[in-house]
Amino acid sequence: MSLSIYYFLQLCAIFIMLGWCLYLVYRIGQLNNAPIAIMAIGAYLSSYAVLHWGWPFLLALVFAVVCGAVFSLIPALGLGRAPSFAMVIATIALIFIMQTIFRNLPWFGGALGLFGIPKVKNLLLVTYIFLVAIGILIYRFDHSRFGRAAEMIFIDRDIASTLGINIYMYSVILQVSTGAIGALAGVLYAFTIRTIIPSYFGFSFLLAITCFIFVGGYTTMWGVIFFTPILWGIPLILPQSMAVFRNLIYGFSLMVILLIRPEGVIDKNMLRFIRLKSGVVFKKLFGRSQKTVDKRLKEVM
Amino acid sequence: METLIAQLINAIALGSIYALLVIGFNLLLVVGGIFPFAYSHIVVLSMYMCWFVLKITGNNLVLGTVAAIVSGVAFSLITEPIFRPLAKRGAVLGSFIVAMAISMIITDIMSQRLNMGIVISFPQSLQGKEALVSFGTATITAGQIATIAGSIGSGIGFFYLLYRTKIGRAFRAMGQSSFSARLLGIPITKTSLFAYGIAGFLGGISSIFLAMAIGTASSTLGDNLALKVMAVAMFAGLGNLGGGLIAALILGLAEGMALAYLPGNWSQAIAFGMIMIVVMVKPKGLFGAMA
Repeated sequence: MSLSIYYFLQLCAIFIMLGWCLYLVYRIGQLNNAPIAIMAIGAYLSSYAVLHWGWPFLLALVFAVVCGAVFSLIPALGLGRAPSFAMVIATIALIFIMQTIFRNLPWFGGALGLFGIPKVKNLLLVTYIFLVAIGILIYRFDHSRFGRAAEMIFIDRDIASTLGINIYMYSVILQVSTGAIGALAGVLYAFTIRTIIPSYFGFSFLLAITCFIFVGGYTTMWGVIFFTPILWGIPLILPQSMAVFRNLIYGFSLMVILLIRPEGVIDKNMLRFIRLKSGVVFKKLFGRSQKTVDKRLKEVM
Repeated sequence: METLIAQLINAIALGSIYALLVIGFNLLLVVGGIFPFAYSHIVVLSMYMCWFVLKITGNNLVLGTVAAIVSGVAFSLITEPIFRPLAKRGAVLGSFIVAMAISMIITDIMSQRLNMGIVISFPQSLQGKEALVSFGTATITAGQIATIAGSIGSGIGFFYLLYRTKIGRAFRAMGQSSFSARLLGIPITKTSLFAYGIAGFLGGISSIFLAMAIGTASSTLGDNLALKVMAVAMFAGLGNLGGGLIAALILGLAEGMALAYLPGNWSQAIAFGMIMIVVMVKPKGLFGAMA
């Protein structure tokens, strides 16, 4: 496999994970950007453990994910009750705090970052196993009691709390679990790029992820899956002179989509429509035709 | 001691620029009903326009100032039709995302097209670096005095407009509830256009002060400034105009002192750390949200 396709697949998987992080907390109406900050923690801790302590990859991965989840508990406890804007701004601030911390702490190489991170065998396979596993977990969450409760919180917080839903607990649990996913994405990112510097985990990253999720659709988990490869792939296909305007393309698509389709391209109605249509097509292809049904009926009668 | 006083003056100048920006930001938030993340990007874009005019006219300061203010108002008004459907729908979080998209577009244009993405630097004559008052080793420059005086002047002018004129009353009514304001016969579209214009005007003025204080501008300045303005607005409580002024001064002082007396570039972390703590302890800001 050529190197560019490898990077494309790998980065798409990582972006989809991060998009799901934003999606999960947005389920209860809070826009949480902390996963990008936690991602920096995951990337730095895991590569430091491998480079300086000589740990194997999987151990470093588990260590980084646990650290990320534990760290994300701190803002989660404070921000669980915060109104949605307070959360947006505080978590953006958290991204900048993390960048400054990693730039200034003596162990992480300052602005030069960490480099020479070793290659890991079958990283693509590992990444996609994690991606599918997380996807199944999120699907199960969406179609469970908890997912329906989260939906209610999104629609109306007051009614949700009168129904006995503990909004604070939901917020904290979702933030911590997205922290873990964010740290995992950070580990995979570090071992894909194999050089990390603090400015990678900054604002431009957040803008790209926000574009992917809000263009794709934030009400379902499928929007991110379909639109991350498309939006990430567009600048790669375009000629070099056009590709530098990547952010311009993202900005315009985000603006236009939000104005004409406020819920993103793939929303719940579209999913319902697809399910209905695919059911009809499936019946036409594989189901019994009316003739055979009539025949069977006659036989039975 | 002398350096401390000089640093204090510097910090107050910085804080008064933030205060002007926060006034414009809060005006758009309360009257426009949107979350104007791209406001600071428009301010930086006006800085670029000011720089272009200065370059073409051979450092004509009057024309440069006019260009900054006109472009601030014009760019601010251009964004109004984009935000109008969102404001009607009451989708504030959606308007934040659209504003983010606009900021992406402006940043990309600045980093690719304007001056080929190279950092622009303003001429010495605009920066006002000559010492007006000097004591010991420390000096207070003309630029700092002009910034502080200009900010106080425009602040007073704005509050006069808000509390003593008819349009100001319309602003406050729309801030309370745009639905009831419509019932009372306030022309919603005209009033919000006016608010965008005033916010752009304040942005244009602060872009000149920023050019004086910093002396350079780059495409990343918009993002940095946007975060700081948002942080100040959050710190005081979103939409709280009076609290915003105090919070802007506090942030300016904290940042100035951190820049002067802390090693490395920890100053950013200090500013944002303060925000995190305030948001966690008092989620509605220090002075409470007005809107």
